[in-house]
Amino acid sequence: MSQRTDEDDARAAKVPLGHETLAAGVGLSAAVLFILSPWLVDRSGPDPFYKGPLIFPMIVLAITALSAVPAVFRVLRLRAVRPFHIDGHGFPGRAAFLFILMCLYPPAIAAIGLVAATFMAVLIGLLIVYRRSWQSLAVATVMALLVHLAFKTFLDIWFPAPWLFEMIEA
Amino acid sequence: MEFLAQGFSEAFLLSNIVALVVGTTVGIIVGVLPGLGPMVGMVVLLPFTFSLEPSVALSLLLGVFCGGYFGGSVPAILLRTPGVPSSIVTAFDGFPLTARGEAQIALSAALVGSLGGGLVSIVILVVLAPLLSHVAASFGPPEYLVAALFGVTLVVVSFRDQLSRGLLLLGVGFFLSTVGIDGPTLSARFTFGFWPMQNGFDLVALVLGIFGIGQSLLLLEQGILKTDKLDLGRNTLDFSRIVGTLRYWRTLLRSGVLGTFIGLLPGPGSVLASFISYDVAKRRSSDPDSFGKGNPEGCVASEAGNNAVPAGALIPLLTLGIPGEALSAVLLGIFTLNGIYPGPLLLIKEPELISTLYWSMLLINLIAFSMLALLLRPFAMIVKVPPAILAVCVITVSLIGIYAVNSRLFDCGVALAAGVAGYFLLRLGWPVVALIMGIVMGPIIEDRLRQTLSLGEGNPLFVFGRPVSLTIIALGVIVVCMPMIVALIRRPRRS
Repeated sequence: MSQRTDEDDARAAKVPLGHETLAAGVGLSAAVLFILSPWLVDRSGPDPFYKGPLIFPMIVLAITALSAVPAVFRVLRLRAVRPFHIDGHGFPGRAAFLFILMCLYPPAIAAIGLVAATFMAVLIGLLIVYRRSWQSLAVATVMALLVHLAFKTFLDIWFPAPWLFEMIEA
Repeated sequence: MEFLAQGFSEAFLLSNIVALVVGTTVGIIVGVLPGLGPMVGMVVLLPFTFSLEPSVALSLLLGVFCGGYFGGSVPAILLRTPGVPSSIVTAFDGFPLTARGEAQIALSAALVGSLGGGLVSIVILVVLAPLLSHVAASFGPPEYLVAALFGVTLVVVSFRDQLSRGLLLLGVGFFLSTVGIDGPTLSARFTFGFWPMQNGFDLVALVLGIFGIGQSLLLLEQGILKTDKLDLGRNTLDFSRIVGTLRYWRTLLRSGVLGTFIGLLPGPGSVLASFISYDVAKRRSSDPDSFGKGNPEGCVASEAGNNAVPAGALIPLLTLGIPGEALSAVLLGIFTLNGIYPGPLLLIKEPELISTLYWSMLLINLIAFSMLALLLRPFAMIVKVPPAILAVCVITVSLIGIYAVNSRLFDCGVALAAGVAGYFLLRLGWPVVALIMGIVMGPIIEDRLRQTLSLGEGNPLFVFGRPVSLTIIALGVIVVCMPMIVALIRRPRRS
């Protein structure tokens, strides 16, 4: 068997604990939910425990919590010698920006309507992450039209009336 | 033969053909685009399937499923960047051929391999599904429960180096499926008094969030492909090269059979099918040293292996209701959303649907092959679309699609939260497939568990008294313990 060298130890010490911390966090949350589950599940029905609504959630939460036990031990043992970042690739700035923009998109549909919200979301998104204004404008226009055709004309989906326009009209 | 004739006319209906062409086109496009893949294509099209007939909806999604594998080989050969993970093996020989100015040979070999593998696997599916279905007809709830647990165990065990993470995500998936009103008892579970959660988390919102939004955010961070050296030789595939590839028919048949049987097992998936098919072809070749340096036989083996997986994965899905990986788990979701419950009785209850499915699979392979052979350049040029545009458009369509399913803005919030989780899980390389398996299989396993416990009057050991259950449990124990036993045996030898 090959012997561990100082180089191996040094490399191991640099492996971040982000994975373990995440796993431990999920596992601990599952453990808390497991303990609280009798109060978070309505057990007023007449069914015995083995037919009731609680048995399966308790089993799966126990599995989740138990599978995180090795990660919890690793975090506790190595927290002093290993960094806590996730993968060392830095903060995902563009992805974070796009995500925040897309969080505003569904409320924008309710406020200004499907076509206008889609046009704005795609345009602003592309101007920030792609930075070519004419192409962004073209893509935003095409997307707004396609979305209208696909979802309103073809699928006939109901979308809420834009309250902002209604308010201005009133 | 009568059974096959039932679905023939249905498969050739205009609506079905349109669905197949659209699905296959979308599949090839998302397959060609590195970073997206057939999963994103399938989940983005999900909301559009609710207004369609079940057979047409399934044809559309199967088109994406199979088309993705066809398309994935194109960037692997031209740019050494696989469109789908399993096409990495195709790049071993495909890219050296392109570098020598013989991209046409590599592309012909890959496409003939894909077509051959697909056709072989469909024949095996048609023969094997009724046999397995006949065996499964004797199953009761305990056998189904044990078989489903065996399936998810295989999936988790397949991530051998991430076993605890796989188990953790499976548990989280199971838990997410329990949120909301419990069907049999009408009890609220984990709703925290928040009424929109009473309907639970919508399957489409979770899957679209994880793959549609999560994968697109990741795509945005991965940067732009270098596509300057896109040398195809000509606009279409050279017919003489296609005919020339047929001399590898033995490799094609062997890899097709291997891929189908690997697809049949829950867990391993198309990457393993590609690797094993390639390895076997190399070992049996008279010139193994040429593999990895531009041997077209390597492209044939890899593509025949990975393109046989979809039909192979349909066998346990249709006969036992057990999906082998994330893509077939989504197909299972589509079946159940349409009120069709895969299992041994499916072939008896819905023979026309199953027969249509077989014909559709056959047509998808022919359509994908013809489209790529004739429209090679336009499809290859898709890799030049900037990832930023793709990411923004996919997320926008995903969010509207999620809203369209139930007309609830709450589902968009669920999808966005799932998107963040999906982004980090994909970025960290965690086995997301275990999470999807948990979400889809959760309600099925819970139902079977309740039925089994009711039969045993609360005693879970009751399953050990049934021979079929016991056999499946023994198989599961062997599969889980075998690698540990092998490692223990090998350790003293090494030392």
